[in-house]
Amino acid sequence: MVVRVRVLIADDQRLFAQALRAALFEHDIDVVGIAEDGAETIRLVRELAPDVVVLDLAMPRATGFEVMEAMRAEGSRTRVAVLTGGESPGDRRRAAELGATAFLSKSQSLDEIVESVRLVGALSGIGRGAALSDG
Amino acid sequence: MEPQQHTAVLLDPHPLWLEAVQSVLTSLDIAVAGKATTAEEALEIIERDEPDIFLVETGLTGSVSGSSVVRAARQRVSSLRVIALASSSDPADIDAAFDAGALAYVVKTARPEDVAATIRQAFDHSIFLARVQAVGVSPTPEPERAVEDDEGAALTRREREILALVAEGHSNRELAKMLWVTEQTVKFHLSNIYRKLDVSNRTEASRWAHKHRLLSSAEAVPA
Repeated sequence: MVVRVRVLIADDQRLFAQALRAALFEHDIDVVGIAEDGAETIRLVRELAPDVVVLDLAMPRATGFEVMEAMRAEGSRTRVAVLTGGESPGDRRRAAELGATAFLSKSQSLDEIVESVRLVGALSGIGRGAALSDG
Repeated sequence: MEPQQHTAVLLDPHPLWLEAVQSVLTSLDIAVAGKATTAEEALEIIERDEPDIFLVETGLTGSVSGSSVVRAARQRVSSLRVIALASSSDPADIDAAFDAGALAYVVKTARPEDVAATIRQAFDHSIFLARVQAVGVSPTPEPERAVEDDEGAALTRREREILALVAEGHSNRELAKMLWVTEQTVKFHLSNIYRKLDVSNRTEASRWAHKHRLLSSAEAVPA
């Protein structure tokens, strides 16, 4: 059976988050939640245990990096796909060090973003082995 | 008769933002004439389609500032309603957008319904805010008006702008670059200016501009 990837979107730009949710849904990717700040993201990752969190870096109440630190400290198995609108020097390296699986830019095309999220979701499935194949 | 549908042009370097804004416009029954990820594309569409509204991310990176795009857009279509939809909430950026002629400035963290309300207000103004400045926001300066002159009333806004720049000594090539048009377009406008002012060359046209104290658009804020 086909297993749909479960995604949490973390972005304080609400309109953008809604558009991303619609785009992912059209491509058979489930969005299980939208978090509008870092603290809410940490809580929803814990509660919903999504396969992927699409994570903006610049958010109030905990930045994307702080979210990743918290996830690592809690031993979260949710994979991180950073999706940022403004990249600063060193962001990619820091994200990789904190365990991000992908680093995406909002200037990428919609198709590229969706495919990357799908790919990160597939990696999540590999990581969890039998749990996903059972649906 | 059905009222004519409003049209919009969108500019944002992030394609998904264009989709996001388009969904809001569709809900308001506003047709999207074009979507662009670069200033050049957006200005080309604006020049071609003369839309009613321009939604623009004014925090553009690269060689062109958001403010200059707003100015260039309004120079092409003087009736254009410009709404800045931007990531920055820095008062200096907000002031710069207003100075360039933006009607409203919406921070991208705004709720979708607030974005929709702002767009609706651009056409149907029914909400008026007190003249109270937000903390850290400097008062918006009164717009400086270009000199009006009966003799020059026949000139369009674009022609006045070109004439003012000619009077400042700019070449056609420089004008084309400054105004985002081809040299051919500049020549076309100049020939109309000569005809309307009944002059035969740029020297005489410049003399007319100096005599009538025509301001360049760099000094005159779009009305």
